[in-house]
Amino acid sequence: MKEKHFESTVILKPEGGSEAVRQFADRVNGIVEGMNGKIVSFQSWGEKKLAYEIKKSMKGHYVYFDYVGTGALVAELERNFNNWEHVLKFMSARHNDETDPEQLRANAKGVSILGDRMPEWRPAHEDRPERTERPAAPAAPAEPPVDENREYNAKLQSSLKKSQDVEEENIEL
Amino acid sequence: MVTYRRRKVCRFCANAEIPIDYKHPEVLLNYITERGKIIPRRISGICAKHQRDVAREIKKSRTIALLPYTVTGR
Repeated sequence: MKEKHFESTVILKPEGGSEAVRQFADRVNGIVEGMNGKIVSFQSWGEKKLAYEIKKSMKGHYVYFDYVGTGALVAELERNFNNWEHVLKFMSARHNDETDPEQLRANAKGVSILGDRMPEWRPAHEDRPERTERPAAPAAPAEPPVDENREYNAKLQSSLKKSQDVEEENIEL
Repeated sequence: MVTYRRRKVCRFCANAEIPIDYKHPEVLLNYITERGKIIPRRISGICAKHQRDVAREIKKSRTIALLPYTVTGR
């Protein structure tokens, strides 16, 4: 059977802590190795709040791992997850990336547990310099209008004075 | 009166680096309502191709309890 790249996300009961994760990783590794597969990476996402209640629990310890193997391996893993008491829920899927399974096997990191929280995507701030420039730009031409007003006011006042003078002259006349 | 609405540009076409993946609920969270419904394309402004991807990944994310199916008032 052709080998493919799979990934599984498993929610464990939060009570066990990191010790339970360690045990879980070893058991999973046993099954994967037993069926001639290979774990590419194994991540712990830590304890997270669940979006909805599962088996009376609102919290769960997320574990994620991707591996190379056959479809029969996935079936065997899922059969085991169903039997393990501390597994709340699980989901297995084909991995997105199209890397050759042979190559993945060579670069596999094995069961060493990576991370303690979920990796989040953050936008790369390449446009940041632009953003800092933008508020600075309108600040610079903010000064001239004041000057223009001053000039305008000065003109207005002088013209008013002139008209007053004229009026005064008129009165005199 | 004629009102013109600017055609929104698909965020995922504009920036190919944004992951559409059930493992990144923080991205998908922008495309569900407060009640947990998937926001339609005419409102979100995503292109058809990426809307399909987003919808699929939201459903996966729900399966593994990273996103809610519904949010009720209770």
